[in-house]
Amino acid sequence: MIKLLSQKNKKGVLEGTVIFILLNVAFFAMLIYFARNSLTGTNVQEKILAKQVALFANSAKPDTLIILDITDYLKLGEKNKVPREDIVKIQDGMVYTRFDENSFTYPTFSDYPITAKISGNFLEIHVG
Amino acid sequence: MKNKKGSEKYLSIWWFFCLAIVLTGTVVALSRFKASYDVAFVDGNSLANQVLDCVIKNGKLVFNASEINNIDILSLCKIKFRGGKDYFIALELYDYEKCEKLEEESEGKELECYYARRPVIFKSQNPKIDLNDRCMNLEGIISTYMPPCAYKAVYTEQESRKYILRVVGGTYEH
Repeated sequence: MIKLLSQKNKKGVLEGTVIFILLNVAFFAMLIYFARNSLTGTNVQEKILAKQVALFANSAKPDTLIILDITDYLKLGEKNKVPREDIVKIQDGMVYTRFDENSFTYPTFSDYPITAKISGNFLEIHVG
Repeated sequence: MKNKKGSEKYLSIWWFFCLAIVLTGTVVALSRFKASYDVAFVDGNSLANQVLDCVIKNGKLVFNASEINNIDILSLCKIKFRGGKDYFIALELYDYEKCEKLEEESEGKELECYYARRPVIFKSQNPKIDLNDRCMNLEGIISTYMPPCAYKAVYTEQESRKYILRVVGGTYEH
């Protein structure tokens, strides 16, 4: 009888430990997923590219052509089945970037006409 | 204590407290990382550069110094403020001769040789930070919670009168 109780008790401890480990694994897995997403997620990449393009356009003198290698960004867009022409575009001085269903918009302050065109793996930004 | 089950032992309030600390630490670290792609300073810098490039040609002011408050900086410098951000530009003219004299007389004291100041502010509807206050009154204060402003100063002249032109540029993304 005592042996049986002791075995039952041991089982309870074991179950508790397993639940505890599983909960911890779940917690840290979620934490890592959240951290990874925050650091390298598409929303971060959208922000980085939009700001990069806007800063180049803002600091350029009229009649400047800026060529930017966006191979990695194109790959990311293709992976998420985003049309090439939607990955980065400039309309009315606003830079739009999209690597998934959401997009990011960043304004430029230059009043010169700014256009962007994807050619091969490069983005051509013309400040006119 | 000895008779406590494993679940009771581990899933105590203290363990949740430890997890909360880990979670807070991670969130704080991630938000600090986000500040690394905050381009407010570079943006403010290129704004100040663009203004400086257009108001001074060959070392001379392109507008009449006495009419600094009437100039339309935005159309003169081909700048258009678009939504989603706050912008701040200020032009400050200092009388060069007076500044030099004051500097000799009162070493270490703040210069009081303002000739004129022209601020241009673009505010969104509910700005969290007043860029005018940030750039002018809180100059030199470094804070992760406030965007840094860019300051440029150059010597210039107009009709043989010398000035120091200071351009301040600042942007703030919501």
